[in-house]
Amino acid sequence: MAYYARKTAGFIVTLLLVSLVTFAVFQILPGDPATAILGVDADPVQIEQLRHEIGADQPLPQRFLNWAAGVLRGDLGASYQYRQPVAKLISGGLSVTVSLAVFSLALTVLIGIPTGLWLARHGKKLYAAPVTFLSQLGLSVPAFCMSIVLIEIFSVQLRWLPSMGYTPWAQSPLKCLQSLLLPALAISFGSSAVLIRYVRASVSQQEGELYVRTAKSKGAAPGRVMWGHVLRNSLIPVLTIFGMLVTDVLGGSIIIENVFSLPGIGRLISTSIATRDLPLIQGLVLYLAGIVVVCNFVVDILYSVIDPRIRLK
Amino acid sequence: MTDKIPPVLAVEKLTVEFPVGKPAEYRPAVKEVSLQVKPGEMVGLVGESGCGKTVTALSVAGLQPETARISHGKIRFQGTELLSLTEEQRSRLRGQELSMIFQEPMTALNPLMKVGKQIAEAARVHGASRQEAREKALSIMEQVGLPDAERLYGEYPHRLSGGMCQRVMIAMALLNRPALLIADEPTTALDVTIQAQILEVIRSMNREMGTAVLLISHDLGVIRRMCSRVYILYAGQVVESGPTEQVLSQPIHPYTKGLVASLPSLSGRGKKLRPIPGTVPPLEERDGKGCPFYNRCERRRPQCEAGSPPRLEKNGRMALCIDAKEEWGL
Repeated sequence: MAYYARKTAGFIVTLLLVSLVTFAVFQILPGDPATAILGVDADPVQIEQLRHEIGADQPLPQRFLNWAAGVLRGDLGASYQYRQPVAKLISGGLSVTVSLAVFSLALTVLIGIPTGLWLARHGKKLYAAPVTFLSQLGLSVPAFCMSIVLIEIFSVQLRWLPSMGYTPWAQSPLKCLQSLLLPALAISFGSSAVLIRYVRASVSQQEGELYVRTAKSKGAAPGRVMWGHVLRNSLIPVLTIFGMLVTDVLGGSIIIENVFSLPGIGRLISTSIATRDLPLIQGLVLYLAGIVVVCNFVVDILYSVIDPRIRLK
Repeated sequence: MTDKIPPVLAVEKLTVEFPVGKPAEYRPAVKEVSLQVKPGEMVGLVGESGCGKTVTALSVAGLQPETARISHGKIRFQGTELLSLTEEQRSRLRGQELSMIFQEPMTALNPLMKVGKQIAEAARVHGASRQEAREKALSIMEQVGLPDAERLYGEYPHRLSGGMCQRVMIAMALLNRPALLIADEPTTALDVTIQAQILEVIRSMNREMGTAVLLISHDLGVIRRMCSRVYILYAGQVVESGPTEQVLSQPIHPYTKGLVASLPSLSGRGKKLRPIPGTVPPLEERDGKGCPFYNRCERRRPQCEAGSPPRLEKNGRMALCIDAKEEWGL
């Protein structure tokens, strides 16, 4: 129980620090939200009035406290730009981003783990060279480059998949998957390459462990040794990397959403920064930080599920 | 006569080589080793570290490292030539007819699998149902002296002591009542008191099940207590063999003599122990010429350096030394 209390306390402190830092950074950035909204030619009186309306004329600590008090009441404030509640804007974009992230991570696992296992077995053979090469490529090519390549092949040349836009799952699950496939591939190309590397190294290392010899001495066939013994032991270090990849994929989706014009959080972030939309940025950062912290927490729990030597204390 | 009973295991002139240096050149870690284990017998294999004991054992089980090359020799097990079997056929034999336990019981168990399941796996991989395997595991756990088997079944290895882990290993190895158990330094990593207990388990299993045991150890005291016959291995070669009592009371080979002299005994308290000077030559330095023990031998003669020592036999004993000629009056 104390474990969960400590985790929750850590969670709150992280969110507080993250929002303080965002708030501070935002004050350093040049530019004024009222001017950004009304334009540089606007009447100074109007600008002053807008500043007053959105509270930009109050002293800094006051503004932060107002905002934090709002968050505690469950109110993230209203966007300067869209004149809508931040929570509503975010929940709209969040479903897109989370779908994309989950899809990308699923692809990452589906590609990364089997390929890593396969390379651990056959990595030194000549016929494995193309796979090794591709995974090297995945490590070095950034996701937005990959997106352009994928769009060129699958949208422009083959015309199989859309290059932009998003269809909600509720409207048509098939179309939804189609609209997410290319961006997810672009993201998972890099992240699965990372996973492949770690799975391969970890499996190779575990195969040299003595318990593997014991399993063989019992008469276990190679397949059983791999699936029953080696795989689970190999997953412990891989899980650490996977936890980091979650953060990576979320970060990557911000750029990729712009490339594929997906109406997700990534798009909201870039527009909100451009328009100095502080409440929206604060809300977004809070959400993202929350997701990352929760994911790490899940990874911690998974550790103890996989490895009985790690107990949650 | 006992000689008429066919052996469970007959290793004939087994040579196992490893690549050494660059460019790689194969050097024998085990050279023309011959040994036999009869049904129900306990046989010792003794030697210093690096003399090829483990490689011999692993080769018999078919678990030698991938770099190893079995260049010649035969391993007949229950009349079947193991080296001509496919990996799949050998895998079916392992854990069923031929089992092995290892030196480090703590690391030899899968840390992420419950010990009961690991023991039961020995039955599962040879076709038992889940329920059957569980029952077999629980029954063998009690036989090897694991207390409260039901509770222990669900424990993970890290919660067990080294001695308990070795009992788990023994249970796993003996679950299918194999004809032969190869025990590779089973007590080396354990406390002395636990050592005695583990050896007792192996001995009682040998008596109850009739499982033959090839006990590998560097500890002559252990071998003397447990084994009726012994093979002394030096630098990959069997330098002396025979009934344990005879070999240890009247050793022929200077290496065996050295081993016996370096063995502390309770009766000889206060007497100085005499270590054998030097160490086993590393693989790189074994050029295959002359007697392997030449450099460390107190009784070396000119002919020992160039020519291979004679392999002399008398009354079930064997020695790889010219000294045997005089001592045995050959």
